[in-house]
Amino acid sequence: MIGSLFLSIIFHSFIILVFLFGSDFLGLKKKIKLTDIPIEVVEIAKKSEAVSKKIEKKKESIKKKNEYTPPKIIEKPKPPEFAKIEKKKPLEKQQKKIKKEDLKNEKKVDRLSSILNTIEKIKKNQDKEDIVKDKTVESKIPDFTGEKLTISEIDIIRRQFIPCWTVPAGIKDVSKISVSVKLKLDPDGNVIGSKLSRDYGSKSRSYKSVAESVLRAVKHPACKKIQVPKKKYEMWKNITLNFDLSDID
Amino acid sequence: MKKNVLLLVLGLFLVASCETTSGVGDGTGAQGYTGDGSRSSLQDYLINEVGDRVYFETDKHNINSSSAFKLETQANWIKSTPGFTIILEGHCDERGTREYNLALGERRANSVKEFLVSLGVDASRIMTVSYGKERPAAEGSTSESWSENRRVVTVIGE
Amino acid sequence: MDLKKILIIFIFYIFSSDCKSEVRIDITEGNVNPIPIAILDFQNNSLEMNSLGKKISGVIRNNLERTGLFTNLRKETFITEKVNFNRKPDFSDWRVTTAQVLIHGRIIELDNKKISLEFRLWDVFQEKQMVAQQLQTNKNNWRRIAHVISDIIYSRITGESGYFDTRIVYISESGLKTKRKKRLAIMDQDGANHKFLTDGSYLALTPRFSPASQLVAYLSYFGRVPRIFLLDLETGKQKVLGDFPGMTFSPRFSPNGERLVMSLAREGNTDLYEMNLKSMNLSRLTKFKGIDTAPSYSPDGKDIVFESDRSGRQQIYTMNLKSKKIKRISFGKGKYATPVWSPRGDLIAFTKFLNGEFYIGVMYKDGKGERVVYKAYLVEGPTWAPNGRVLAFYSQNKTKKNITNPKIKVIDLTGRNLRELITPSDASDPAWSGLLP
Repeated sequence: MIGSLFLSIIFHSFIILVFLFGSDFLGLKKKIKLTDIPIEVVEIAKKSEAVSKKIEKKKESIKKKNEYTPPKIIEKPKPPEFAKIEKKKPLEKQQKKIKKEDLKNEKKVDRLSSILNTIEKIKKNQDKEDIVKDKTVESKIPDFTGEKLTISEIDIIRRQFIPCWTVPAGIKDVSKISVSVKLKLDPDGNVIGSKLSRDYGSKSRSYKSVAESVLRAVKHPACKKIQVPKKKYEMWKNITLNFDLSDID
Repeated sequence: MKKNVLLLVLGLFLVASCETTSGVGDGTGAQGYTGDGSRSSLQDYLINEVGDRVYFETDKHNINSSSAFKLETQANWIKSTPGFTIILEGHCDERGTREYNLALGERRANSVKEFLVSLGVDASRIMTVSYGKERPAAEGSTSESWSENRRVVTVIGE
Repeated sequence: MDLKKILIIFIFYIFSSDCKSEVRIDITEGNVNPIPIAILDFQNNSLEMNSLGKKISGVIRNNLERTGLFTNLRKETFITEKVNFNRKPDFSDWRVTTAQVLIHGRIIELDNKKISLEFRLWDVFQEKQMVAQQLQTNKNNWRRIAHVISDIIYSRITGESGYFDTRIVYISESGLKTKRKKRLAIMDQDGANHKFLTDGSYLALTPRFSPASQLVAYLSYFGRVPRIFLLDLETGKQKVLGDFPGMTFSPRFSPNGERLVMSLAREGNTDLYEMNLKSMNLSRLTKFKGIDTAPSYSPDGKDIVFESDRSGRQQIYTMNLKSKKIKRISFGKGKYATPVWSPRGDLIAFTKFLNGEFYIGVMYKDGKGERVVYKAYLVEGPTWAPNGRVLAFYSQNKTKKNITNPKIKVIDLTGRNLRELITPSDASDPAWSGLLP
């Protein structure tokens, strides 16, 4: 009895701790960040000046060779005021760093909260039925030998992502691109984590934009909660979705 | 197919040249011109008395027999009336792409030129220009209009 | 209470989250609906700047909407229209509007002439900033800055370069079919800044934009002699391209703008020639009794693709400019014409005539994977936007005994998102510029 009280204290303080810090991670407090978001400064200037010089040279060389008098032009085209594009360095790259940390934190929270959910349930059962507590705990142990998902169950999951994914059709080499994303779901079918199987850092621009469309798809509000056969949690708590464009033109 | 077309053209050349040798001087409407030699009067005579245009089959540029007959009359008139040049304008119907029709119009104008030269017209009096499908003679989009538009028109030069 | 058991469960949960027994599901279809975007008006406290900001946002909205890939959310659905530029937006507000992407910014008057624009592009679902940039320009140049921003947004989201900061030259048509007046004209890609370049006293046809400069080559009947002219848009001056016996037509610039390939018709035979625009040297590329025309360069400038009737019917061929090796690539039914190599390099667009109908299609450079993009009674002359995923062409439909007036149309190479380009009068022969320097 003393043992369980002790445990209960540990758990509770743990929960409180997580809530204290977790809310920070999750941004639940809605603390408004006043940090300046860095801006890439682009002045529309020099670049085009250089280009128009080049063009001038070209013109001269053509002119020399030709003495034909041109027909009259009614309205001379006004060349566009050449915008001048001059890139200054991005002021800071802090934003990226912050982002990465955020991600890490998020992951931690995800894992912790799923653990907590389960532990809380276990705890409730403990309080209610002191005598049968061992059994209860045992029954909560996930069933490793559980049934696999049937094809139709997989199809139901698959279909739910279709409306969330805006296909980036028409981009170059689209038929050669496939993007895998790993999803983590909680027992209610909420998507609580998503990660690309491969980072797109070194990949082509086409791959990057497909990858981003995939990340938007799995974070689409309509795909936040997935209809799943609840009993088979073990089978679908980690899902890898492979978005493949080879059939799409 | 190509060979056939060539043979046909060649055959017509032969027929046509026979006819010219025998036909010179017996007036196929060619000697009747009595105008003042101005461009407009020449053009009027060409249109009304001689015939200023010949027609072609789709995508073709060979001279068929009725065209050959017309061109013979033309050639006789041109030869007998010195003092002007002619421009052969090649045209196509609208059922082709712009670039191809420009080339096809040139081809048609050129085959008329070759025909006239073969009948004895001085090549230096003939110029060619292609208008592709840009200047149809008939407005409509019917097969009658199209056949009217696949043509080479002889125009008096300036 | 068995502490051990609890511990085991605890440990199990920690590790199970990395358990590899996971389901793998292939998703091979999605929706092709446009992405909902929220573009806020660029803001400023002064009335004048605020209204300029509104105009700029308007041009951007219009640009993106016209691609068919995006749909602008209406202002009425926004929970707020003001987003502090230096703070992260409250994404929950934007998620309820269904916006996947949020664009907001501000406009600042630097002095009498200059303005500065700052904007941010947010991925609402991922709560991630995608772009944050500042641009400066002259006030009267505001349309271009709107196009530049549209290009940045388009390119960041689609992964392709944009095509909004571009112009289109085309042939403006009016009058009777038999005496059609055809003038060279130019406009921005969205139809703004329309100008006529010739007066219509002579025929003008098939203009082509140099991808690298402000030169336009076109076929002019000036003096009743059809020849290729080069028009410099910066000076407004033009000159005939060389003086050849015969008719020159169907010009096309090389990707670097230094060479030009064209057709020369002479004595009933049309062959291809290439001209070096620096030295004005001319070299003959084909020598075949037949019509070789409509040449177009590959993006690396090493090959050309063209049409020829050497097989008896118009078909598409490629030629390596160094080895002069010619390869036929189209073998389908019908006549294939006006092939145009995509600036992206992967595809060739063409015109096809089959069973009384015209088609615009694309195929890979080896002739495989032919696909129809558009079909009409008459449609021809495809031109690529510089990003190689959008095509413009002109088309005419059949009425009872005639055909409708020509109009320029723009379409995604997937065959979706067909739009008509609004022009002051009838329009044909469009040619897209490269991205403006």
